[in-house]
Amino acid sequence: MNEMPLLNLFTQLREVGLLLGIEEYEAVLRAIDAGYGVADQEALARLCQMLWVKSEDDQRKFDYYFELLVVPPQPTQIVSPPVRVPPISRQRFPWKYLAIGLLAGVITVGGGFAVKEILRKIPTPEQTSQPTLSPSPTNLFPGLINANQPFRPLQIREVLVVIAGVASSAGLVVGIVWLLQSITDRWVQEGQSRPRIATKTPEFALASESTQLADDQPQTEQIVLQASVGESRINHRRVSALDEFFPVTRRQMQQSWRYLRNLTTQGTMTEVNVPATVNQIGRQGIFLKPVLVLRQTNRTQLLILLDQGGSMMPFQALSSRLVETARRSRRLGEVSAFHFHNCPTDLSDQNSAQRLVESLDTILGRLGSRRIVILIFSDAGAARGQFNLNRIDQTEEFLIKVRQRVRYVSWLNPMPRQRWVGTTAAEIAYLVPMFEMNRQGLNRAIAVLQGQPIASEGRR
Amino acid sequence: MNRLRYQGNTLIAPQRDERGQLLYPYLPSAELVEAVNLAILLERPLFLKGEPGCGKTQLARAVAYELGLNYEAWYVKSTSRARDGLYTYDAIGRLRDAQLAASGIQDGSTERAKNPTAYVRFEELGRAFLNEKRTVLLIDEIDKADIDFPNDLLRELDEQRFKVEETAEEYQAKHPPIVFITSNDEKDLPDAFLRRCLFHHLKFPSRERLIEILNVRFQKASPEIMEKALARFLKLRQDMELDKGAAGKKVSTSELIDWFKALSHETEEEVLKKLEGQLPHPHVLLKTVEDRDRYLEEG
Repeated sequence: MNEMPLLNLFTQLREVGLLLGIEEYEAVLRAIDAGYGVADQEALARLCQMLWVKSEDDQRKFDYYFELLVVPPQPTQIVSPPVRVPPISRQRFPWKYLAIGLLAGVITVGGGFAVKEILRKIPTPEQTSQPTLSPSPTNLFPGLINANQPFRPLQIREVLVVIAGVASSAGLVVGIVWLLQSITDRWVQEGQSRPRIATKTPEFALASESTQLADDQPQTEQIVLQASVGESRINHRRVSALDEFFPVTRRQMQQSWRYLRNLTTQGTMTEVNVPATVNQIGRQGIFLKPVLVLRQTNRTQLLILLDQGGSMMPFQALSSRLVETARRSRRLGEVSAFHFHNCPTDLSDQNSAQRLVESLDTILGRLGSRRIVILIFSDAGAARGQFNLNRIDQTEEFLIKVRQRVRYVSWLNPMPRQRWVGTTAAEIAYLVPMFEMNRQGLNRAIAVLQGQPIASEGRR
Repeated sequence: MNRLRYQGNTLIAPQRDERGQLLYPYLPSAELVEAVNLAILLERPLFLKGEPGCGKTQLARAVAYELGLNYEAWYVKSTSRARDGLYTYDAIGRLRDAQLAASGIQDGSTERAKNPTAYVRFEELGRAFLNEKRTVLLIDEIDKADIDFPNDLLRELDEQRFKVEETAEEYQAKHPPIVFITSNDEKDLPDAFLRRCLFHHLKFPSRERLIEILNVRFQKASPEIMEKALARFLKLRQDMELDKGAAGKKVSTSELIDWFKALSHETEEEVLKKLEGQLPHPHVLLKTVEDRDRYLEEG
């Protein structure tokens, strides 16, 4: 099972949070069986990506693990069948080199004699003659160059030339032996090659054929088993492997926002209320006209007030995600976001370039609706552990003012509950429903905006 | 049936399809061809993403044309529900017929009203399932609909069947449709849905491919103009890429085609002269005031 880089890759990707099921693994195997992704490693990567990768984040993880688990080209672990089919041609490789080696040996021996001849006539020409004589051997058969190397120190030339000759003829002999060996190897292999390839590739034949062959059933089961054994680990690891800021993921935020709605009917009457129409016919005895109703729309106007700067710096990404997900959620009527620092008295528009400071009255006046709800996102002094009476007073004043105009206000605190104790946050939690920023907290805060009476998490 | 294989090169000149709509050659990349064939093989929807105007929507029709299959396009709206793609039920019509029957008017309404299936009208997905011929189905801009919309389609796409609630009749697909789904990435789609799709990101074509695309569309255009216009276009795109980054709106393939069409209505000398100066026909390429200010002045 360890010889299955694809399964390893699959399991690994599951562990780091890609949402994949056994079907996705089988789909890849089926595709491989049909001849996709087998040309080379790139094609295999493309195939797996198409089936497994659904976002840029997935892509990064995939690239990393593909490189790690599949790319190292160990002959026994080669992934795609065609890469595996050419092992014979790969074994042919050394022969070619051997043939060249033989040629090189002959040249070198010949060269050696030539050098010998020249050396007899001229005192020191070998430094110039040698490179011209053995350029091809230097490239092709490094072992022989070493044999030639001792030439340079200019000692008893005759002896060295003989040594060179002997070495090259030895090389020749070895070459012939290798040649013979590989020929016999090939003969033996050719008899076995097909079954051998097949036994090396059970993982590919397997699931693809398992749809047709009952024999492979156990192996498929094994895969399923292995993958489901991994399940228990996965759930723990997935959390840490997500590179989204953890407390609430984007998707969870979107899901939570869906609960924030104040459905009302508006516009022209377009929808037919079939039960009401039937009921009307029943009463009137004849069908006069259908009962039309207005389409329902969500009229909730959400005002998000974000604490910015200072102790809220680390939570900037989280707060912008909160706004972004709310804006992208089409169910919400209108979403506006304003920034403040420490106490929500002076608000500035996130989008306007001038960072115009506006009072809450102007903002509420502009929104001009009675369906406004306010969500405040601030640590309320919990991050620095401060207790500031002035801040409590200001916040209380603000809340009193807001409640005259707005029906529901809730507060999300990015700091864990335990840290509120003894800080301004604990006091403010008595004034307004305050929740820790996690999935449950977000859901509760939204439930408060929906009008449900839920007490602050900070209270005991 | 599974041996269908898309090549991506059947159509070499613009042609009219059976509905009389002009169909232009579609030049897919090798990867895209592979993705299409894989989707056909695995019978899974092919989910296409890519910048606007890169030919996501065109692909389905090109595939249907080449493989000689039926073609259905379901353009998703923000109010679309999953059921709308399968069928609509004309409850009012049935009521009307029942009333007519009750009042004693004999025009066949009595018989009609007794048969509830007569009021079922199959929509794109339903038709794709029930067609005698295998169908290429395009679900365009799926991200426009509600967040639950894709999940509501899962069962139908997975099991290739659906039920008409009003008549309690089940329909099984005659042939699995080849489904293409496009998204403009306005909303994230549910994981459960993404898991079942093949995913392909359409990249902006290379320079060579753009020339090919222009060549098949404008077969009479001179190579010199094409070369110059394309250079100008690519320069603009490059500038936009630098200024706006990967996510910003950049000039697209479809805009290039429109722009070149505008250019090809003029004489060669005129066009060459215009290409030297300020960007000609800026309204085809620059869609915002900022773009206009920035890129028109530079030219």
